[in-house]
Amino acid sequence: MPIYNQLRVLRAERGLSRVALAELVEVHPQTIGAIERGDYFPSLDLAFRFSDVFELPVEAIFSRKPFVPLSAQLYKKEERS
Amino acid sequence: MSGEGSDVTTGPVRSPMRPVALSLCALSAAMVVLSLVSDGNAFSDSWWLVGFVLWLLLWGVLRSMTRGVAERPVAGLDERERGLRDRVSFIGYQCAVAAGMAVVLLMVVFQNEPGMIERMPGLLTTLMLTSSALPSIILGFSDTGAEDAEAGADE
Repeated sequence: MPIYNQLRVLRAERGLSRVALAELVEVHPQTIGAIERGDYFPSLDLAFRFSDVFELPVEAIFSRKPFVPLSAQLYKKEERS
Repeated sequence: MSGEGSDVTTGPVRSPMRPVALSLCALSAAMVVLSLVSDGNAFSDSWWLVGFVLWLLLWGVLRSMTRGVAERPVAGLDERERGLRDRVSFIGYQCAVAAGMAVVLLMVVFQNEPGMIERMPGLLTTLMLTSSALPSIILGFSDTGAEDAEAGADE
């Protein structure tokens, strides 16, 4: 079963490059790329390190279900209000 | 654990690793064919010997390019790199065993054909060389340094 992640979005929000994020979680930058592409699923230990870096719960970064794009979330909110 | 840069990714955006891996793969296949069709022992076949020298050069280049994952101490690899190295080592070992078994099988099948038996040392050598280079070849093909660099440049 695939594991979806928000790494690319969270990196963009915080202005972090792959290299910078890789240094923060102590992995190789290629590993960040592999996780973002869905080619590699991180261990629980690495998932918690991402959680610490982004100060978010693990389930906000990784999920079994695809994340709803931010644009779609915003559009729906505007429609409701 | 360390986030130190491995040599797999520190190359230019257009990493030559895949073409080198592909060349080594093609050369190994050509040497297998040469060892099977050579007139007698492949070690006395000048084309096979030229191929062997070229093979050594390409293998040295590819080995140098992939040393970031292939030769770094385990403590310096992250979890993905450790898994990748374990997997390619296992594939190389399995292929070496299969190559040895294939040669034994050929020797049994062609035991009454001295010409074919004479080719077996050359064939076994070629297959063992290929098996030993297989981990480097797979690492070369699995390199995503160029794509990652391009993606990083886009961001």
